[in-house]
Amino acid sequence: MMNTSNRLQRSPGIALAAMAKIAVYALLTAWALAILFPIYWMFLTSLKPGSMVLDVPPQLIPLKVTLQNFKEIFDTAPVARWFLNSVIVTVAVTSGALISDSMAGYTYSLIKPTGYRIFFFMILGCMMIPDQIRIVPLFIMLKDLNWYNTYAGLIVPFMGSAIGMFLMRQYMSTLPIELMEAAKVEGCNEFKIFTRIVLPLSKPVIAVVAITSFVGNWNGFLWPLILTSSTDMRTLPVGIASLQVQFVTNYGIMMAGAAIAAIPVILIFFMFQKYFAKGITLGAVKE
Amino acid sequence: MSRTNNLNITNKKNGIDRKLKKNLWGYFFVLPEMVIFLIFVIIPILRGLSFSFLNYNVSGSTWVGLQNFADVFKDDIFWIALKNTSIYTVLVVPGGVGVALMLSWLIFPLSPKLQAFFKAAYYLPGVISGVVVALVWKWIMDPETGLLNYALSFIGLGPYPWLSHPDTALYSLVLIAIMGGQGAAVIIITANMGAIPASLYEAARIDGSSAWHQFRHITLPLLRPTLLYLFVVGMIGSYQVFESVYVLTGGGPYYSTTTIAYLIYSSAFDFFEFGKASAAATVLFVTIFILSLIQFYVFREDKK
Repeated sequence: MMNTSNRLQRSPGIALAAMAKIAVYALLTAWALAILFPIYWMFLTSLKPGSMVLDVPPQLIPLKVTLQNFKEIFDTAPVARWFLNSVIVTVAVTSGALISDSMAGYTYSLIKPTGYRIFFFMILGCMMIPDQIRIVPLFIMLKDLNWYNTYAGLIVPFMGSAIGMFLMRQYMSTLPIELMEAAKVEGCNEFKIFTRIVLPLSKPVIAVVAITSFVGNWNGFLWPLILTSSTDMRTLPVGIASLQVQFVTNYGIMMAGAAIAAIPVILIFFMFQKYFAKGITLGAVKE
Repeated sequence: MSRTNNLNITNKKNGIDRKLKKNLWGYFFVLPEMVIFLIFVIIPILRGLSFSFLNYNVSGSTWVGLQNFADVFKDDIFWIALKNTSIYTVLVVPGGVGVALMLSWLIFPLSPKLQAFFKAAYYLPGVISGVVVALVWKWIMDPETGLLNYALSFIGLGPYPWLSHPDTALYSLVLIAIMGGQGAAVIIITANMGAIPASLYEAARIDGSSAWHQFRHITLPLLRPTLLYLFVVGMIGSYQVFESVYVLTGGGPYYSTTTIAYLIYSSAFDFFEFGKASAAATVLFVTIFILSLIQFYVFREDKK
């Protein structure tokens, strides 16, 4: 705060300072409009009657709104099934990851058994290794397990996340250890301490991991692309990407498909905004 | 005497018991995560590395030494892909971090409410699937009916065949990546700006240093670890760029947007050359690893 007021005071004269301030707001707003415009354009196009999509000059405001494109895409492509697949996969992966990440986070932050650092850094180290190295072996493994093109194949291998585990550990290391020691004196075992004390106190970080995992898996593309073969097993991103072949430049319908994939995460973003920022800073800001 | 001795022994035994119990509980709690990682991450990574040296076959693989690597390095398309990926990274990462740094610097002095508003606006595109974003840009950049060429026609430019010409396709992907909003980077940078002691700025102000001077000599040096983080994480991500290529260009036209990740995908699943794909992935891994080390080195050296 002091910093800018100073920056502005330094300019010779109030008029200049005011102009500088306006320039700052103009720049910040221009960037926001530029990057949000594609999202607006997607929704706008998806709601236009097919005959108006290619109008010249293009209509930049909604003059005539219709759900015709949405109706058509649900009629001609298994979008409902893809949506369901995405929900099933995302919810299952997120729930599994929450369990394994929180349990591992508890070990690495509070129990710290002999040699825990080896496991901890091994899992974190996996983050440095590009996914491309795993695409062939995982594909072969899931084929051998008969999990190729099944829900199990899309879910089980991803039920743990290094980032999720790391965030859990970071947060749990800040919990007051006296509470757990007191519980131990009263005869609680580690499992009880974990479920009755640690988990309830970790609600904020659980929310952060749940939301980041949900969004990340909802948007996931490479793995469902590789691990599914039938149209019916596709998740939404893979499904709508495949629609390009069918609808080519029928942008009204393509944008309806895109909007269907985007709406759930946009809603989650608006509902749980504060957790997104928390998740980013928990992982990347040294305190 | 013997009584205290006995007590000591039981104490010690209790201690060992407690340690053992603690360890067992500790291992129990990491078990689910370790099982998942071992089976689906660590073993596949090791197998991926070993596939680089094998001629994979369902009925039995044969050891081929460095043959797969020779095939990768002999392939002109691999070198084109490496060049494309490097150009993409060199533009997207510093470009993105630069934009984020400027936005953060402008946002930081604003009221918390305004800051939160802009951060949310910049972060929103980042939560939307890359496939969705790519499809929208395909429509905006459509050479005949897209909005971008329509807008440019007013200032007498274009029409450009953005994604369908070898000269512009890769740079269109760069533009799309930078237009992803940079919200996460802004959130990280501003959070770390907040950790810089205000007294430093006050001292500088008393010395009469300009806003630019303060930025150059206080903000920037103290953000070095943050910028290092953003550069390394950004580089790792952008060397694996895949979605926008897959959706928008399929690596074309004329391989102008074939990236390493796309090449690996296509040699594995279009041509079923598992050995070659794994060798290329190993090269990608080593490349990313070396580039990370170089960045750590560069940023550390400058610290002095």
